[in-house]
Amino acid sequence: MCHRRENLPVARESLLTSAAIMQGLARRTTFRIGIARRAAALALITAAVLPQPPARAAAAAVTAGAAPHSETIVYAAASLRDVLQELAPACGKATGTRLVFNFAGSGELAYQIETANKADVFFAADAVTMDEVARAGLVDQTSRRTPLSNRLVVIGPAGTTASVKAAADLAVPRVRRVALADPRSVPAGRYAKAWLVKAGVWEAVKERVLPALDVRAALAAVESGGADLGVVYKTDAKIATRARVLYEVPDADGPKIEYVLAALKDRPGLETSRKVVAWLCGAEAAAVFEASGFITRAPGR
Amino acid sequence: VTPLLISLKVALCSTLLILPPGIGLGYLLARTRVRGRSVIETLASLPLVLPPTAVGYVLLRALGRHGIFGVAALGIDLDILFTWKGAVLAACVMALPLVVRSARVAFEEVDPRLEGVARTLGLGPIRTFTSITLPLARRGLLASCILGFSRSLGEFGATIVVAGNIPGKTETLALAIWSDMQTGRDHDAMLLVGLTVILAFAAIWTVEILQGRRTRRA
Repeated sequence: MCHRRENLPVARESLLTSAAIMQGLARRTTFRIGIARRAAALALITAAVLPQPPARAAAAAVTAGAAPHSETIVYAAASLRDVLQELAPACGKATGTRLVFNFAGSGELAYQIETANKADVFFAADAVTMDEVARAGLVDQTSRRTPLSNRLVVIGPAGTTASVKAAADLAVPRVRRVALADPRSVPAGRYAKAWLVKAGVWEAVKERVLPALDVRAALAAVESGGADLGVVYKTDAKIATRARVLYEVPDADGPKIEYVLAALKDRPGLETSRKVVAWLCGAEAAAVFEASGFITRAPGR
Repeated sequence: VTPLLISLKVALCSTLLILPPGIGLGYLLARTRVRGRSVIETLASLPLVLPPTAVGYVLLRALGRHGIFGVAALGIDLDILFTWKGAVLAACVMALPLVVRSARVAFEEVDPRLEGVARTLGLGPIRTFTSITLPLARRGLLASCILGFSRSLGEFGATIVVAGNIPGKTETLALAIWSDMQTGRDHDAMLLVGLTVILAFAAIWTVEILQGRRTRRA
């Protein structure tokens, strides 16, 4: 059922591509109103006439009501990129949907959701961001969970000679730039700032901060050597190939890191979104999250 | 490969959408002397000089839930933001000035006396346009079409604001390069850069050839 629906866009796409190729052909050769150009026009018209996939309406019509939502759009914090992509096939199979992701800094995602609610599930890296979306009346509060936590680490480029034993080591003169996710909008940056403020060195570190769009961009800044040090999640450092962990922020010193997950309202297929949320809070997902370095909590808490 | 397909789809759709208004405006600016012509011309060129993020932001607010074209105002959801249609819209707005400008030049190169002759021989204004002006401006218009296509292909700033950066949906080549950069996948980024260089080279080269022929003929 799902496959047949997906054939149309594929057909459109291939028609459009073939039209492009044929147009190119028409341009290259110099016959005036050549066959290629006519064929290109024909393909284009056909592509334009083919109906847009009325995916949701079709899904509802086929099995009247309880049909699985064909696609669930998940807006998720950048730090969840690898682990969620790993979980997607199993989650989709268990909940009868296909997960489509939009990864970015949580603040950016919240802004996108508030401007045009095109997301079914929001997985934010802190409660502040989720509360912001909730204030706009878009969060399905009954499905809201806090399934994950994480830790902060200080990283340096693979070959660095710097040594970090405490927060104060980020403020020594030889450290010129410290990459953080932008604390104004990204949770990872807010957590890092909270840690540095608590340690009393934020004022000194502030002027060296290289603000990045999301935590993975902060990681990339360190890996490329553009920043001497960076503060990212432990899970980001774990997937890094050209950066190494210099210091792990002890739980007692750092802020409490909480990932918040919820289905979003005013969307078709809310039931499926709730199932996806529930599955991501379940035991099967927890095992994968743990393996990726996340700290999980018992479901439902 | 998906970003390439999305890019081609977006650029083709946007080119097709802007050709009629682009050519129309170009003709208007080349041939008529309407009052406020310079204002129209300036307005049509604005996206060329404005920061793409500014253009994107205006579109985002207009189409957003509380904007003038939003769900609240229209009663229906146009479903443009953060879908591939959003990318098409952004590309359209950003590429329109290029199409208008080059179409105008193409029309200006057509000798108005030829049109006059056609009119004296009894052709109506519309027939004159379709059978004299358009064929004579053909090469220039084709170049303008390719310019619009290439501009659409490379659009980044307005696209990321209006369409987001959703892999498999709105992640065009330009956005995929950005994502790969941000996540440190240098190899993939380089691959996509190579792809865009090939595409851009092919497009601009075609324009050069078309223009070269025109000058030789003149």
